[in-house]
Amino acid sequence: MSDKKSLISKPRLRDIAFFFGPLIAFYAVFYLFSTGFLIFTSFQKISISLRKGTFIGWRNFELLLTDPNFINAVTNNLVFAAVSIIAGLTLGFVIAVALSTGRRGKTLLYAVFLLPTLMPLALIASVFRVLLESRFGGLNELLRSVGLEQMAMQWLIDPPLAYGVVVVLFINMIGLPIMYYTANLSAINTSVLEAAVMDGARTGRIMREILFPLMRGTHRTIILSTILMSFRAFDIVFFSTQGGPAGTTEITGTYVYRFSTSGTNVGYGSAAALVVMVVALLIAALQLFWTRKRS
Amino acid sequence: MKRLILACATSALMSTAAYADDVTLELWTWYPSETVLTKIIDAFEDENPGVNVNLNLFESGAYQDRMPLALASGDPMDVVAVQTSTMVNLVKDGLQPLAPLFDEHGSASIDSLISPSALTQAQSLASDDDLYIAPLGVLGSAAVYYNADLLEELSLTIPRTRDELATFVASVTEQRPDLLPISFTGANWFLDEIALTVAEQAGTGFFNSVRYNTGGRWDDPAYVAAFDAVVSAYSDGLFSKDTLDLDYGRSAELFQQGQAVAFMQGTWESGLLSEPHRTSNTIPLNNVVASGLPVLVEGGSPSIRSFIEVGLAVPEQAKNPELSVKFIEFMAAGGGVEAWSDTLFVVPAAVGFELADGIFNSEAAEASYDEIANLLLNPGSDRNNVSDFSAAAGDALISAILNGDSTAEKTAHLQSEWESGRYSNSE
Repeated sequence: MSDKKSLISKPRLRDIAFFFGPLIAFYAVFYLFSTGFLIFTSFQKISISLRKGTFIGWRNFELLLTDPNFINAVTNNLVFAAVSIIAGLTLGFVIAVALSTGRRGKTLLYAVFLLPTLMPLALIASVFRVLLESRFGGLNELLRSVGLEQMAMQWLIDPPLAYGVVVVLFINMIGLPIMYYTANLSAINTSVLEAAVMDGARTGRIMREILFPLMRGTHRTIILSTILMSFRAFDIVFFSTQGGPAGTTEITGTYVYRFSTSGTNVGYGSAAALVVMVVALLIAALQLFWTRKRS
Repeated sequence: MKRLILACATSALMSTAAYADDVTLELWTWYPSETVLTKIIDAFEDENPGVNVNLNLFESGAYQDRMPLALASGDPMDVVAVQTSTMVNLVKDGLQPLAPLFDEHGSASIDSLISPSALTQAQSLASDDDLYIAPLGVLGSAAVYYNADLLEELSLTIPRTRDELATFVASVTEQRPDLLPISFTGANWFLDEIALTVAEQAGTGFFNSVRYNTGGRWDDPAYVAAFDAVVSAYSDGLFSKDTLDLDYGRSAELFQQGQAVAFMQGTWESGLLSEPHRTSNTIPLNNVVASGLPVLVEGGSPSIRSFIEVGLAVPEQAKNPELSVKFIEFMAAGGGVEAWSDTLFVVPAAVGFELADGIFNSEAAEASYDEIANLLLNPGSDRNNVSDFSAAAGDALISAILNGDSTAEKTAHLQSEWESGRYSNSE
């Protein structure tokens, strides 16, 4: 056995506290406190003044889980997440590979696809809302001006169309998957690809049978981040359809917001937020468990 | 024209003694605008040398979120504005009862300064029936504002009934298809406002009966008829479905830019009738007139739901309650009223107050303000909304408008939701 001492000495408790202390304090304040607050208030009937709450046991949860609008909001979250994941894993992947081939205008195209991800979602959703307005919106005005009046629709009024608009807004967020894939592509061992080309593999087959499986880790990251993003996508829905028409595009974020800001029982909003958090954590845990098992 | 006869006698009675050391009064509010508040504060500071009023002004939505938390956290606050309806109960535990404070520090008892009916409404908001807020005035919903120039250009008059409204819309559509006959937000909360206004046109005091649990139900004939009337107003083209994707701001913008002949909203938009208000807010309209919502139910008459708005209160943590009372009296019943009254946001609740000259630029505008004020002071029911339920009621209307769901099914659903315990009506 070598009696050489490691150059890296065992860190002292003081050093650990120095480096991790601020992070732990931040975590304690912003995560543990807020989660504790949600748990505490979710079992109470309590106003936003947070005074004189009444303990009501599981009543808030009973009301919540028997509300079809809440179930609809959770379902919508999952649908929007699924659509975003499918778009990320297909469109995002293909675009990232296409852009990595070094064609001209690559930087411009990167900017085009990444821009929606970098811009505030509230801004994008608000612009969509004005653009898609039925009577005076830019899109319908354009369609009417070129004689395509029959194609001018009530984009945000007709429930299926409004649902479609929100789906498109979620798909619009494929910039992040593109970024992840691009980073992974630059780290791939090109000899594998060269061998495939020499063996006569075509582009489609290389993408499907070599590149896609090679990026398993990135798929995992994209799936997880997209699911979690969909539960935080309040601004996309709030600023485009406000959850309407008649709750068609409601997601958990807008549901919690409605009850936390306009009602007198903040506890009900807290219960909703808590259930959403548990659902999101469960999905993330299941997904991690599943991918680990596969690998 | 009406004249300011006054209100200010009370101010004259107020002490003008200078404060030995500079005292700062922390004022939290969302209304009126900064310009108007600055004018009020300057006048108050002139009357009370040594007093500095520090203004904490917020946008309405942000105020609703932040004020209760600041109050609960013990932030420095001496006078707070309270949004009426549910907010009073939310924050009353952090406020001091007003009547004894006025008896001790005011120039007179509060019920001799502010209209008794407004004080009764203010008292009814607190679950313990105590008085915590001094209301600035009364507002209600829904009313309709018209671009008088466009009315003249199209040779139209203000529609008063469903048939007249149908003729009005048809005439606008025929003469100026580029215009929206009536602009309003089709957001769920406002459709609920419209349906409840129509319900009051039957004269049964529907909303009070359901709100104060005196036997009213959401599947009562008065509400069923109102629900049907709103849905059929859409299906018959009286209201355009294009309003369903307009938010509040956009619907107001269309009216102000001359792209709509009329604008339906709450009476808090009555500033549109005021020339100084239009000028100071650069609203490019020359003359606006208004009326109540046309009668949409058979045998009905114009009506409105109204309620007090903008209550001023003294928080528990106020350092100088005497000064807080002085400021509230100044703003709600004294010299401050004149400064904000030309916004026409509310009809002032100060006893004996009348509007100053120069607010209206036509007799028609002045007459229509009188009509709105008269409706507000003789409401069908209180506009003591249950905001979270309002969204559910509006969604039921939108669903019926878009999907043709039956009124019976929707109103029965609303009644079961009302009883569910999920909304703010449940104590």
